[in-house]
Amino acid sequence: MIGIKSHAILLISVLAGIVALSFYGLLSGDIPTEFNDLHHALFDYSEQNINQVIIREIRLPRIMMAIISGAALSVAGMLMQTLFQNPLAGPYVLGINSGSSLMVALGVLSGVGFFNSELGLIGSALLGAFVFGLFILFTASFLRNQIGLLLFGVMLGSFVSAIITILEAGSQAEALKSFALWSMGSLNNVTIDQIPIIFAVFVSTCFLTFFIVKPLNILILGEEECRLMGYDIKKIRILIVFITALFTGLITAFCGPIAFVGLAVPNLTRMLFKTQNHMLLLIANLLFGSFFLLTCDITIQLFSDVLLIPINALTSLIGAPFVIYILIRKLR
Amino acid sequence: MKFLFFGIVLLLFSCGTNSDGSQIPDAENLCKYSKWLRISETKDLVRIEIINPDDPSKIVKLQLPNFKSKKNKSHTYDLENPIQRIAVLSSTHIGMLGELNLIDRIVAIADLKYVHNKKLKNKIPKELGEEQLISAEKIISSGAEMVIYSGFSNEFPKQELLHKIGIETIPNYDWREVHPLGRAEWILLFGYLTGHADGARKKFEEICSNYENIKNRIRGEKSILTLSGNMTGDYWYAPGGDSYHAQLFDDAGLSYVFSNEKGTGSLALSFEKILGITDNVNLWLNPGFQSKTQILRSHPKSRLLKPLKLSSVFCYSHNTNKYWELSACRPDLILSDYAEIKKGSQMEPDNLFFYQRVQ
Repeated sequence: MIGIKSHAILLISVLAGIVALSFYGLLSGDIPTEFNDLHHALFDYSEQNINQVIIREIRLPRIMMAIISGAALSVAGMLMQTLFQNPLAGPYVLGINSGSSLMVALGVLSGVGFFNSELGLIGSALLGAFVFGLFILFTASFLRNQIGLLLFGVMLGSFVSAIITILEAGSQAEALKSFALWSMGSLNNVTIDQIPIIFAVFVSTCFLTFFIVKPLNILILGEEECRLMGYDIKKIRILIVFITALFTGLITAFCGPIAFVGLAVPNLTRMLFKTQNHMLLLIANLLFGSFFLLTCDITIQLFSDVLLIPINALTSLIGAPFVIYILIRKLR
Repeated sequence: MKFLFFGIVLLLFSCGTNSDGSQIPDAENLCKYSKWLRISETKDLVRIEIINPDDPSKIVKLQLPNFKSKKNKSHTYDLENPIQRIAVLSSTHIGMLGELNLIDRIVAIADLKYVHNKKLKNKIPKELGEEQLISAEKIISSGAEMVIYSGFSNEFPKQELLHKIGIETIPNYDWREVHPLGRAEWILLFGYLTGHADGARKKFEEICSNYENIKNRIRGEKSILTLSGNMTGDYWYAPGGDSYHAQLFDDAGLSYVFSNEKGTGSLALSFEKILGITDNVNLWLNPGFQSKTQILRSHPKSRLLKPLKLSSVFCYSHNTNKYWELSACRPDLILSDYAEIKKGSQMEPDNLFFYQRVQ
């Protein structure tokens, strides 16, 4: 058992790692920049200076998005795993992302005005995530087996991708191109103007999560215990799905689907901290998720001269073996 | 075993080479610009060779009678008569047959959704679907005598079966040509296959003459630093410095930002790099979208690019079908558009054939 002091040291180290990587990411890239450019870009910005433009408009939003997306998807994964009492649960694997993708596909490929707008895209992604979250919650009540739930998620993903393929076949070239670009998943598309909105929604959802830490801790003990403690189990479940949908829908709307972060990071934190205390797990997932995606992003930037790696490919490259490892452990 | 395999491969790609092929005299290759198409002609014979760009040792050889000649019955040919019913799987093939006024010969295409030619649209030919997933039954039921395909994969599906029942499958690598006139030169293939060789040669000479005239006219005019391509995922994909588009930019007297980058394919660059090197760029061609809103929705940071701020962005996306159908065989019209765009504020939008300002 790792002590509180060790937990604190580990979390502070990860936080320091995030700060260090952020600075590194802000200062390094294809165009050489200096600390002075960074200082000006943050506090005395001039659009006439190309180095400042690159830092403020390209690197800063990308790094902020890596931090926010990593944290949001990891917490969403932790909530799913606790809700379904299943280490294999996660927004991507269970198909919550698929819900967002389907709604975005319907919006973008149909070409209907509102759904084709930025607000429509965000609304579609959030709605899709929430509806699919509820659907998975409903289906999970019939599935006793943990691997069964995973298979259900995989099937749901296949089903949605088949519908999307049909929609794509009948869509116009421009709409098809827009959707294909969105579905690739990227941290690069968010602008500096969008960051405050994304950050506000993210922080609000984090606060909401802090409020359900106690019920989450009790949920681990079982539904009966939860009821005995006076919690309305139905309401808690819907609230968890709602928070997960907010986190997942927010990130999916702006960055497209990002695979496996929500599955790998919560499992890693549970392994490292060996605890069911959701306050600690929540903080750990926020920090480790940010650190993980930031590391992926910096790695991609470092190797961009020799190899072009999309963010989704790298997260899947790390995440998929992790799922296999957990599956083997489960089957044993 | 190796010899047997080699033999099968040769058989597959020879497309019925004549037994007396060695008797054909070595005539001059009529294709001046194309790298992957060779046509030679004698009084009685026409020999067509289509070279696979991925493996130049793989050559599809066709021997036809010279349809102009009366005494052409002394050989065994791959085609005895001009093709009357043809299936074409790429828009560029439709464009070339259209330029030869032979749209009536098209009996099947890949997808009507991507057709620009009104006559063909009204004719409603059979739709065969994507090249790799094509059904042999559909081809047979279309009544086509020949299928022209783009050769994305090594072999056409059910190639051998179709050959057995008398339907030839011919690859067309026009899209692999680097020289714009080399791409247009494939019009000769359609001309020779359909018995309209003279018409095709005349058309091609006209295209070449137009192209050279425009090129000479704008030579020496002030150049504009030009950007091309767009963001796809995390990277900006732009034509390489030795590519087809780079050649067109060069002939139009546009100073392409990546003209010194080697390669005939695409370059992949980070947006940071694009922003860093395109500070003085005044023109952005082929962003892939027809409106600024679409460009910004697809990649919001494109607003930082100077040509977008200057509204100096041009694309063919308002009529993609027209561009893909006609641009391969009419590079003179692309060059004419670039020459007009170069005029800047003096430009006459009505003089543009493929392009339009992205609003």
